[in-house]
Amino acid sequence: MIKGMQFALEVNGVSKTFRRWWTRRRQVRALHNVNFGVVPGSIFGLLGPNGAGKTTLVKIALTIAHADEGEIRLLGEFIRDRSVLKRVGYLPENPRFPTHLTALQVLKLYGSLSGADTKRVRENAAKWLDRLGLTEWRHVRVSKFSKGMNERLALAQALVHDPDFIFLDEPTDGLDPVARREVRAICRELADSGKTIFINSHILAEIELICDRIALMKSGEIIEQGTIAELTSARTGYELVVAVSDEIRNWLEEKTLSFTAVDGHVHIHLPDRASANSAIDALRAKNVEVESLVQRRRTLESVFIEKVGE
Amino acid sequence: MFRPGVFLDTFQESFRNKMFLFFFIVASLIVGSIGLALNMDVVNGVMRGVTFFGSELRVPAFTVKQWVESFQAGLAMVIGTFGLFLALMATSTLFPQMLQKGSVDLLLCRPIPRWRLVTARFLGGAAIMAFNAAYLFVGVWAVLGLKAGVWNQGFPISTILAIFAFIVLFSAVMLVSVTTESGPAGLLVAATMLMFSPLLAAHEQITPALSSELYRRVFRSLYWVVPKTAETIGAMRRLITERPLEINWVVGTSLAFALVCYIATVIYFTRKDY
Repeated sequence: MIKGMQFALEVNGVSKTFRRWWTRRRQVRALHNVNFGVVPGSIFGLLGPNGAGKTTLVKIALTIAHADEGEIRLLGEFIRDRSVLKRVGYLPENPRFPTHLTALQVLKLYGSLSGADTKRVRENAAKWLDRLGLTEWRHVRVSKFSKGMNERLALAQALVHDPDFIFLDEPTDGLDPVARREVRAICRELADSGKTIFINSHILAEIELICDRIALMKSGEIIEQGTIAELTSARTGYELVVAVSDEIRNWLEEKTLSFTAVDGHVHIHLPDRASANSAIDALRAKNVEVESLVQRRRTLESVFIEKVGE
Repeated sequence: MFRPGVFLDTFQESFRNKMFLFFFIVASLIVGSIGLALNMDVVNGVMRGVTFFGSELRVPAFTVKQWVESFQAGLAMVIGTFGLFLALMATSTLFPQMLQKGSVDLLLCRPIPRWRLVTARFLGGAAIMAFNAAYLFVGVWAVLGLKAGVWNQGFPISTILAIFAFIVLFSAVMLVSVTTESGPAGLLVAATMLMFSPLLAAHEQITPALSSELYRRVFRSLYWVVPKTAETIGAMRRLITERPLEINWVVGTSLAFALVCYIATVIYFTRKDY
């Protein structure tokens, strides 16, 4: 982490429209005035539906594509100065390695292309192959690898030169649950050691489990950002659970309260604290025992669907 | 800092996909055939007869030196046409493979300027073919030298012209396959140039026969723009048979073509969004 650096990634007013080279007519607006920052040492998640512009943004940050407007600073340096990419790792979506290389050769190739010295690459390659369960396969050509193994190798190549900032595009795609947990653990360890992780994903559960902050993207624009707690903080009322009976059902219908019956219980949906207390009083007056009362919070999924569906 | 990763990887790729091996075996077979199956009957420095794999070849009353030069010139012609086409075909996939989605991302996210990536790939492909051409020409030259005692310096030197002809057409393959991301498209363009270069080389005879001034201008312009592969191969023959060589304008215009292709590729590749 650079001392005094406020953001490890700073995106200022980035816009991008894809056009055919033979016409100036607008084709597809991929990004529009995108602004956000990623704090050093954190795990940041960029969420959005397919075609929202997530991958385009990452590609611009890595100079794989070029912005029409705006600027991006990575680790305190403008990306125009490509030397900053020495300190950046990237796991692309659907990585494709040269099939004539073995796993170890892949790591040596990409490690050296990132400017790391041979000794460090060799040490890191051994470390990450071991950590990702590929040691036995290190001398096997990647053409023989399964999708999951390929994905694990892709993560290893993103880390082999010991970068300070790591972009992961759909990092758990094609992995089994055990490998997913391992990837999450690696991300957390890296963040704890001061490295910054940027995850692009549409798998909400993964994002919710590991990200410190997230941004929601839709049609090339950031529509919401904050911590998971901030985004899901809005209360959506209370849920009261009592044993089901005809008397309760009739009473709920009479009071026009919303409820669902599940496994011999009714879940009564109450909009606020006052109505929850009134309902409890009324039910207790009828000698009905309350099983539980919980405050309902929004889930990341409900936030996503609400925001993206707007 | 120089990082030979992409250059070496191109070599490694050619080894693994048997491209290098194929050319090496073909070159070895040619050298081996000449060494083992070519027998010359020489009397007082004059060729009396030649057998190749036991079959007698008709030989005019040449001196050994004349015969070796003719043989080498003929071989150079075959290599300069058929061999050149095979070399272009084998290397036409190098750029589209590098540009495949998921593969190009892994290269472009590195702290290496894009022009160096494309240059390393180009030099890798050219180096593979240069090695094989040098092996074939020097091998044939050494075998014929040992058998006939004729050490014609022009033959190994003509390798440079063969490699030059390949590099010029390979630059066209590079430009077309980078812009279209299609290997066959690049090969098609280069093969067309190779096929029509003898026609363009005969422009002085053909142009007057064209029906309108416009056609004549177009044909003449094409001659100056398109690489002069036929003349380069012709220059190989002249070099081998020790005839005067006037190739400055052939090399100059072909080199200019290759440079334009290279610069256009670099500009396109540098600006392109992947």
